[in-house]
Amino acid sequence: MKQDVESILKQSIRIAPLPVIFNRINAAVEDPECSFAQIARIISVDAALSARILKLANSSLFGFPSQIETITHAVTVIGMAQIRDLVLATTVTDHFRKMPRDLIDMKSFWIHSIACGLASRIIATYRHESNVERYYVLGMFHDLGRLVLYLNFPEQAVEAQSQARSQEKLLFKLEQDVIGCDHAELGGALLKKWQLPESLREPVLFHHAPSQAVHFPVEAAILHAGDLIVHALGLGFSGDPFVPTLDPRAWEKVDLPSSLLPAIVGQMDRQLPEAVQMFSPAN
Amino acid sequence: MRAFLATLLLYSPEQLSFYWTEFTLIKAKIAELKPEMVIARDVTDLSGCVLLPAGVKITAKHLKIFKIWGIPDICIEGGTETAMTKTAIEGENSAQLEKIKEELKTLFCHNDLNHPVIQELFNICIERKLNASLQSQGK
Repeated sequence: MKQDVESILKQSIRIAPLPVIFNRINAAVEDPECSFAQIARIISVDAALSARILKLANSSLFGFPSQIETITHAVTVIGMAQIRDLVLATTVTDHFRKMPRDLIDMKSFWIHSIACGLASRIIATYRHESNVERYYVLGMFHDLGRLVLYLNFPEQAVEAQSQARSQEKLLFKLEQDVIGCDHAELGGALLKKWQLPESLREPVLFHHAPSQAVHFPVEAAILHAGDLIVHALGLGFSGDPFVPTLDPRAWEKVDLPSSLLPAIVGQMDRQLPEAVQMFSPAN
Repeated sequence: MRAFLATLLLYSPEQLSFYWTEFTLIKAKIAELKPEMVIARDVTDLSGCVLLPAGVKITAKHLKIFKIWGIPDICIEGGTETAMTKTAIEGENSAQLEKIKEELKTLFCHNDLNHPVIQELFNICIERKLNASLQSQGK
């Protein structure tokens, strides 16, 4: 039975909209007259979020030389748009707290997502991209569609996974065969439903087919490469038993020498434990 | 044979020597380096600035400086495999190495193993898996 992604999301009652605080931060960041202090005030309303932001700002992921003690200071040194992206990356896990445990190991799933975000961010840093924090968001969001699949079609999703193993096929292709749409399409539709910008939606939608991205091909290519590296290294698990196919044109877009990969992997090994601690859902 | 020679003529001597270097270099971690080893590829910082050119013989002073610069590994002359896999092939672990390679071939079955990126990733995975299995054996 073919499924339409929009109707799946409409029927899916278990996905809450994005938190109000994110929309308020987003509106403030978009406002050219907004000050650092105003954004800090919005974040300070949520004590748990403030604690997370401070922990993140003081972690070795940023490596600032002095202790950051206030949210205003954190917003000043990290940047407004970057703070918004970090808020998004750290709060998304809250939406999927009640996943059926027998279907998916959520800890492994988030490690895969965090590692993918980290790998993409490192690649973006080597390319001197601006606002590399958004790559954390892309990593955290790239396989969210798979969670939507597990919530709505648990039996078919398990069937697709077992067929992928037995037939040695890639899981996203079997999702198309068994359910009618794959996790990337659903992820893209979910981001649209949450009214997130095209710069996030398109790379998530095309992370298995980065050459199809029209507006943000570099972001899609970087996310594609990050996902591939994390699959190859077996960091966490999102359901796919094989390394997804590399799109050679995407690597041309990434435009880095392949000899840089050991350095990228080394950097990931050093940063992953702390990144997992920062972005994993709070228990 | 004629076609092969014609292909060779398409490359400049610099390119040929580059491919030759690719073929004979070993990637070694700083801890594995010893004085008298020869650098096969320029040691550069992240932005590509050359810190020490290829062809230089390593001295004890260089080793100290590499650590200060924070360089994780460099390429030295001597073989086609990474230092870790080379040791494994020479030692008793060749069967284990073959097993790891087979597992990885299944993992990468949807990819072209001749693509440089996949090749590099494949080698990194071999090294990591071998390392992990040696550690679990307590070696």
